[in-house]
Amino acid sequence: MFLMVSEIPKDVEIQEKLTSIHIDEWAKEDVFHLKWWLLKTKCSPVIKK
Amino acid sequence: MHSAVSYAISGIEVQKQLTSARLDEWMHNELFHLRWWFLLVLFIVSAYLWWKIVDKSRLYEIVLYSALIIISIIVLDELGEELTLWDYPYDLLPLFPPLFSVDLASLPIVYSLVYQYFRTWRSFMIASVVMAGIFCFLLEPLLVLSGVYQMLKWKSYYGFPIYIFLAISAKVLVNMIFSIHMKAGVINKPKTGR
Repeated sequence: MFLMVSEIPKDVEIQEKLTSIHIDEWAKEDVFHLKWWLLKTKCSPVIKK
Repeated sequence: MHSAVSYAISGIEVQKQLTSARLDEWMHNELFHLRWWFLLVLFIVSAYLWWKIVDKSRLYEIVLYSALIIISIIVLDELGEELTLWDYPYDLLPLFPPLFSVDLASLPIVYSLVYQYFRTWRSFMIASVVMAGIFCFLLEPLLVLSGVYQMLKWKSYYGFPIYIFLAISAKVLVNMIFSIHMKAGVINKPKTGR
């Protein structure tokens, strides 16, 4: 039927898992890392070969 | 202990699972379903109506306002999906989580018409409050009832101040951009010949 509240799809559970990984990774590996500060201040170093 | 590489690998693996689940769900249960046609018709009708009603003499300004609204709506919608605050069990496209037809057509058309017709700040504010009320307490429950929108950790009234804030901030930004443009136009006035 058209007017019927559907069940929660299974991709919601996978999305929760993925968001959790992203937040965990960001909190433990990304934030305050040197590269994060460089992104924040937009002063990425020029690498000379 | 997790390293950056192991986080990236597990993230990619779960992303693959998610994409696969979404594609599978879309192919088998969403595409050409009655709700899918409803969203397609909603998108086409909204886009057509917008083009017929929009004031073409103010097209630059209204398109800029609409574009700012669309960007904000998509960002917020993506955020809500990512945090599983809400979900869209049916959508036109499988790989783009936000509700395509509502985000890109239905909501922006209403926002841009409010912007077009209510030019003074006072009338614009009143219209924006009424519009936010209609979105929260009429449109969203209707979308829930029709089965294309599910609130998981969200209540309709949470969005009420957000809808108003979006309307006001986009108008402020457009006014600022036009003000800067006007000033620059005066300063960099093209030189006329002798």
